[in-house]
Amino acid sequence: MKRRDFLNVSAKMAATPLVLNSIPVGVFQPADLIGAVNCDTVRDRVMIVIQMRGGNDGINTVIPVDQYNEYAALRPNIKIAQNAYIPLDNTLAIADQVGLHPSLAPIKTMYDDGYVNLVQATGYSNHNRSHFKSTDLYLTGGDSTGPLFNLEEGWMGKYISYAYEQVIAHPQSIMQDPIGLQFGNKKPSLGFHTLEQHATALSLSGQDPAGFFTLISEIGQQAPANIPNSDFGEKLEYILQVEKDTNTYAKRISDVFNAGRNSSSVTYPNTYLANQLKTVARLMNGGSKTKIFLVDMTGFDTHVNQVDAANTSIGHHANLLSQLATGVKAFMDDMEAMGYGDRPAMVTFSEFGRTADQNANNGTDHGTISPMFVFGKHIAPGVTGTNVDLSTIVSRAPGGFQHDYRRVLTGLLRDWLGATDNSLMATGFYPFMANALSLVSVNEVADNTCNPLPATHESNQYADANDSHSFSVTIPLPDTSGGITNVPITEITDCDYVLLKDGFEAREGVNLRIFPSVCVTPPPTREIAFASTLDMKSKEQEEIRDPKLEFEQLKNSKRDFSDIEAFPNPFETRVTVSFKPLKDEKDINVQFVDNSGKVMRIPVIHSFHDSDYYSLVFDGSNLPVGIYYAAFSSEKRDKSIKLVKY
Amino acid sequence: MASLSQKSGVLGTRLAAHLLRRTSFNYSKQRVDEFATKTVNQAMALLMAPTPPLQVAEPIDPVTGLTWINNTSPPPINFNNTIYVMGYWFNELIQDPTINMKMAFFLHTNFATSWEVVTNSSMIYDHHQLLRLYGKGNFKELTKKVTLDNMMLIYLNNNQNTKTAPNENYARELLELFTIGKDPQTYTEDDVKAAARVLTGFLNAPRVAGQTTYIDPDTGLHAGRALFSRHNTDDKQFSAAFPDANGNPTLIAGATNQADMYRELDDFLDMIFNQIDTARHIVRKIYRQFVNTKIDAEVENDIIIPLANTFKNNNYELAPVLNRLFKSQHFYNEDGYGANNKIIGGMIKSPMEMLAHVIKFFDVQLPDQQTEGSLFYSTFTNGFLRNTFFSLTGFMLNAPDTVASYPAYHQSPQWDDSWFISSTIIPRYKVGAMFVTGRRVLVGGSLGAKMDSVGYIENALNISAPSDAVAVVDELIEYLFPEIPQQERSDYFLNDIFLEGLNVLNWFFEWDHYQTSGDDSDVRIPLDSLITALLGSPEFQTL
Repeated sequence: MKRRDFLNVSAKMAATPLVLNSIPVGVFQPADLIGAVNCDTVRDRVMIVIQMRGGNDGINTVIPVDQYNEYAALRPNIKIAQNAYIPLDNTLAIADQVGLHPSLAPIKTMYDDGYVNLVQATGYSNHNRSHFKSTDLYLTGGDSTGPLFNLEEGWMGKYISYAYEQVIAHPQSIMQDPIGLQFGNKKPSLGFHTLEQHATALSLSGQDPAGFFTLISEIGQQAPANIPNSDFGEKLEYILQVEKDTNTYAKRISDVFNAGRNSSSVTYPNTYLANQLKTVARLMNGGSKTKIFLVDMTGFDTHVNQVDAANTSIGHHANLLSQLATGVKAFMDDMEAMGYGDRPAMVTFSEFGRTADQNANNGTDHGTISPMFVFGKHIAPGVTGTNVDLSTIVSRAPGGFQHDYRRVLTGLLRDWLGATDNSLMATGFYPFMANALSLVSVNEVADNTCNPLPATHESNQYADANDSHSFSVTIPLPDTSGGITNVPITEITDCDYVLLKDGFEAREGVNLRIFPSVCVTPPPTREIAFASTLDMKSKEQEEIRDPKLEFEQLKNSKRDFSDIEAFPNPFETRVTVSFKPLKDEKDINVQFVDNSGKVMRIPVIHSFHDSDYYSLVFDGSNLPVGIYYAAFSSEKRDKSIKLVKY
Repeated sequence: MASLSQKSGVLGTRLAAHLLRRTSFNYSKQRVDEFATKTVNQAMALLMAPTPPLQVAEPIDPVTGLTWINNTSPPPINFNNTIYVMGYWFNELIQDPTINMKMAFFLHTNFATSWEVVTNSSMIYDHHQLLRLYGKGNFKELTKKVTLDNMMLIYLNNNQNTKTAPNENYARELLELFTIGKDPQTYTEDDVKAAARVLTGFLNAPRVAGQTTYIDPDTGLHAGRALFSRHNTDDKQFSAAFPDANGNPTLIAGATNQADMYRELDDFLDMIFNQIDTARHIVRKIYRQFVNTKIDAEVENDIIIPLANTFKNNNYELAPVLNRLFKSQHFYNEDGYGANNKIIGGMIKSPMEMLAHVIKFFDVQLPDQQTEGSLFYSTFTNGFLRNTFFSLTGFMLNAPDTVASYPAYHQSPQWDDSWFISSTIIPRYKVGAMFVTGRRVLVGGSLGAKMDSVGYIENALNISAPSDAVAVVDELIEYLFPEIPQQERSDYFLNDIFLEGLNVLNWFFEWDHYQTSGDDSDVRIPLDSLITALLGSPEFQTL
């Protein structure tokens, strides 16, 4: 199978709260699920990420009023006057009180309405001061430490490709929209980048969504059929994939955009940011289910004249902050007017903050930490953390780093979008799960036992559990010569045991094990099926003594259970793949393949049948760390599940 | 293994086309045919020939018909003049048949500036002339000239870098992007600060036409100046990343007077260029832009490191590096590197390359800047280049988004893939339609130039037998696509697009009819649709 064909196979993700041995269940669960919102509500939620390119001057954005004298001394010409800034919240402890830049008056209004959480002093350890490197780090979820310094995949792309793999580039009735949409910046964001060729997100930058499909549909011509095996061929494949992804979604985007409208009661300012947010709102109004929108602001690299010389409350930086505040406010008002107030959460970030002191040009230079704003009706309002520390300055940047930016993102993915622990791990946010910030109102915390997508029962007809049915399953196992058998070797009947095909001899060490339970008659005709177990060390047997129990727990712990599931995932040693046969599905081929489509030699150590699901337990302990797929094909479907080995 | 050993034999059409596609914006069939019979030595002698004179000495204001840049009584200057300089420069880039202007563009992507930020059109003009002068020249010397260039001094704020308040913006990018790089990063944050102190006091100078005070005698171009009163005279201590001759961290003596500031700057640049990492960083950039964005361990060891040694040993002259690289077996994929065919066709064209190749290959005549100034500067430059093609393809010539230049040249891992994304497909695939109609197509208005498809194929130097439909299609494909496709692909363009199912004889008679009657309407329609389809194919997206 060519890699490209393989990756086109759609996949259903198994998201499961059963976690790894080393991580106690519950630590990452929201504290109180009693008031948890239902799955449909969670599925309607979106996250809007506002990128402030250039490095926002956090200290003039959020003025540390407890240190006003130090602030004024560091910034004699660009300080916001004491009577000009907006005291945000006088109920806070004195040391935590902040003054908002006067341009942020709309944010003060939103704060008073309970729509804002200001997260102070965010960043990462040993903050990189290069625009380019630090932007890459923010978009990939990386930092200055070795293994996380050169990540190639974006955190949004990793999250989407894990949680929504079933529908990436394959719109279905349950999700017709691209999962991510990027606006503004015409450079494809690293944030959405994944190593797989198809897009996790579409760029709408500079396009009129209304006419997008018309134009896209005009350009189609016959594609080359023979792709040479060369770098040239790889480029052609990439181009054809972009064409295909674009085509796939172009009509939908135009339709949604044309069907939607903004509220007549809301007037957006005519700014770069507001125009993007206005389009987001209109797409949502038209029925878009896109989950993550990335919108763009630029111009924050304020080395020179960031304020007006005569009045420090106005000028270049003030205009940018005004663009942010008025744009976000108009968008939230539009959402409320549409009745969509429950749907969005917004978060800002910038690659770094700026120096504590001004330079001689009435500007500031590259610094480190900066605040992040989180907006939304159901955001737990308040100020998280305290002011930066202007008395401990390191290389001109303020001290007082408090919040790794990934604690903010992890908290929002988990509590707003309902990301499971496993999808957070796949996103690369494992280290931040234990101390993710709680930024969502306690009664609005997402239930992360919901599948990110609604179940597809309406489109799939399952086999009747009472019917007698049999399947043949091809599972590559090492054969006696050490190669891989390509013929079907097992047969799962509606009894819960596996029969070996005629002519196959399970040699010692193959570790095919069967759990017969209720269906003992008629007895298997091929006794070898039972004999072929088991060269397992006692320790392993101990660990996996009852996969059926594990399966039950999994099933009971989830509100939605898909027709194909895998657990635990990510896995360390063994992984169970469970599937529910469709009506008239006879010949299911299951292959365990790596990221390049190569079939892996991996033993099946158990199989069992329970609750209409058939399960195969693979032993992946000898596999290298990486991405794998359990690929199903039958006369009724082609699906694969991404499996992450860590 | 990857090898810099010289390729033997003549190039042939396929490899001549490969060389020219990568190293010149002026890509034409006639030039390919000329190169096809040459060895790499002969071919590089042609490419490295002395830089031809400018096509047009200076931009011309279309309203008054006057120049303004070196005009002592210029016409009124406004924001549009910066756009005029961009259009002027576009024309200079695409007309040069040598490697020089492609290298000038490369140097622009290294020392990125933007005319959307620095809006003095004369300084923009000077800056790009400087890059043109050093296209095949000494990179180290250019680094010094760029440091003292008015546009750069303003763009990265070194004009505001003084002893009382250092502004480290230029110093940071000089190290991170322009010279030593961060792969691996050896220098420290304190090195950036020390570098900024070395650079204090260098600022832009008044740029007055006809006034020679601040003209650099080496280049004949207006440059910036040094103000000793603003210079930090302390000695500057660098880290162990910059060892001196004794292996100790370099200490650069502070200047004692204005002239000595240039000595201090030279010491500082010597220190940076003594590091092999500087040579490697620049060589990697050249490799990524001209050869392949992927650099694996084999390429690093067999290509990058030896080329970097060539670069450094030749005191950072570019010519020996270019000669060695473009004569190498590696560049022509003849060194057995990699399991598959590498390199040839393995990049995606930038919007600049796409446009230049269409215009030059089909010999599209752009309006004359003097006699058709409005058509060239307002319609073509502002209306088409700026407001249509460049803005829709995510590229603005000489105005990259950031000082790291265009994402295709610095953003790993997408690199050149970033040119072709869902929001740029439409204008890229429509480029043929734009030129055969002479309209902007995606927005209203004239393009300001138009392709004459009939006139093009009528020229025997372009198509051997215009009445032969197969020859027309095959010869266009051979030169427009990096590789000749399988027969069925050519048949698709021949039968489905060009002939629309008719027999080849039909074309023969149509062409004959045109030859005898002079009425080209029936031959122009299928030719235009063929060219539109070829230019709107995935294959043409690559180079």
